[in-house]
Amino acid sequence: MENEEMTPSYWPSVTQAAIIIGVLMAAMGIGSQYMTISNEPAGAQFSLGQLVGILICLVAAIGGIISTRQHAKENNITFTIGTGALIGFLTGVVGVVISGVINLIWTKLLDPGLNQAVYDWQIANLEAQNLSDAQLEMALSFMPDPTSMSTFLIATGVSLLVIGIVNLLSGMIGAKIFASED
Amino acid sequence: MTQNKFSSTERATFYEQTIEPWVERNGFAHGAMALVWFVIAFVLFQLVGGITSAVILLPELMEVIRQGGDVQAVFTENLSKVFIGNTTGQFLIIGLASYFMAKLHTSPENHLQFLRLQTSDNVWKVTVITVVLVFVFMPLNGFLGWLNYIVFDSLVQTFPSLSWFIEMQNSMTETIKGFIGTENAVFLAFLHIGIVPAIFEEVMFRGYILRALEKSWGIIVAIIVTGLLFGAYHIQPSNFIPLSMLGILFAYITYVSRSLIPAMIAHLLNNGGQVIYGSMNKEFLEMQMTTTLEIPPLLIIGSTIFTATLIYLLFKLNQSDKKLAEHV
Repeated sequence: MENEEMTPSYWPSVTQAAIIIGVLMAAMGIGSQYMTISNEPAGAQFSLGQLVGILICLVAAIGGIISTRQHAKENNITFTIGTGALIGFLTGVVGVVISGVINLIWTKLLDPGLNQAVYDWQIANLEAQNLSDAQLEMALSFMPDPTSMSTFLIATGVSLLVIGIVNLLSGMIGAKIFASED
Repeated sequence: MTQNKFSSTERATFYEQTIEPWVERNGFAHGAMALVWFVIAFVLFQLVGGITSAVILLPELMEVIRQGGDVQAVFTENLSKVFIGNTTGQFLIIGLASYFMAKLHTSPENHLQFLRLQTSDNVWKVTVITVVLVFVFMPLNGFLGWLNYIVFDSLVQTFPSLSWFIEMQNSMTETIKGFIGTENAVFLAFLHIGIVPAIFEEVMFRGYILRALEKSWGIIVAIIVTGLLFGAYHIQPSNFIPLSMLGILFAYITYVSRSLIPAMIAHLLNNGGQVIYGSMNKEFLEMQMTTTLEIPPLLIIGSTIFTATLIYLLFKLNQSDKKLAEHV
């Protein structure tokens, strides 16, 4: 059960954990883009970017664990897994916002040509897969243009939901491990 | 030795009535759980439906990949098999999993009442009014669909990347129309488009989500949000308003009848009616949304007045039933 006394705010723990996962996600995302374009497009079905995408999701999942642990240990309190879920979800959402801001600053101010280079690499990689014209046309129609703002907004929206829910689950686990009365 | 004065049945009943639901014991908000489940169910439904369809179509898909053909065409040309995947997703995720989710929100044995999977005193009266309401509401909803199309069309002019949604929706509509238009497909289409969503989508939206949101935010917000979620679930931005209005109407009907039955029948009439009418009237299948309003204004005004009257009638029916219950 949650403590009856005045409950301390969870926002400091949420912010700390969100900064950690936000910076990690942005660094891994930008790093993978440079690694991708530094290789010759050989027509591989499974790219480094996709692998890093899965890794980012796994790394981001620790946000809920970090924030619930921090909140429980710093304040020496117990709380329900429902509160853990809320703390985890907020950590994920703030983490994605931080990561999005870093990405935007990097690709719009520090290296404006990066997104276009990745887009060109992806097209060259598709062409190297020896697909038929119909398959190539379909693959290109499904490939989002990373230079457009709408792609950025859709990607951020999807990340908010996915990373938010992944952290919601890890927040529940964190609450059970670090903040349970048992 | 002291003798226990309660029988095991009495103890079990006492336990069932007093035990706190899992959601409340663990500090979750009912509404938040429903919103999270909506997102998870949406993703799982797409995954289960997609994987099942792909497994059923595996031989055809392998053949097309070997020959370097169009993979998407395999799905559009085998719609009856794709519908099996969709129905599997509807049954497993939208229906069955939502049913089990409801168990987390209630004390044991109360989940059917929570989902409103029950009959009530006024259920058949409401059902009769609902049947009339579904037909009376159609011209007004058609007008709302036209308004939605105009708004979304202007949005596409400003943000051309949104045209992807229109292309996807048009391709889906064309495929379904083609399927309904083929010989002997009416029964299958009626089953997959009419009966299946009428049961399983009602269990999730008007059963689980409506009640969970109602527990957190009250019935008015619950009805509106359930409707908006129902609109969003169909991923058709140019149809968002009419679908949401239908969702709101079904939620309202469920609330006043305290049963899912009228909404299930209304859903079946709306979806199944279009399938049957489309199979009998080829011109209906050829109709396309344009920027010109093709519904006579008088019909829209009449539809609005009659819809409002029937909604008021349902409201009064609910009020008189409440008074009767208090009196008793």
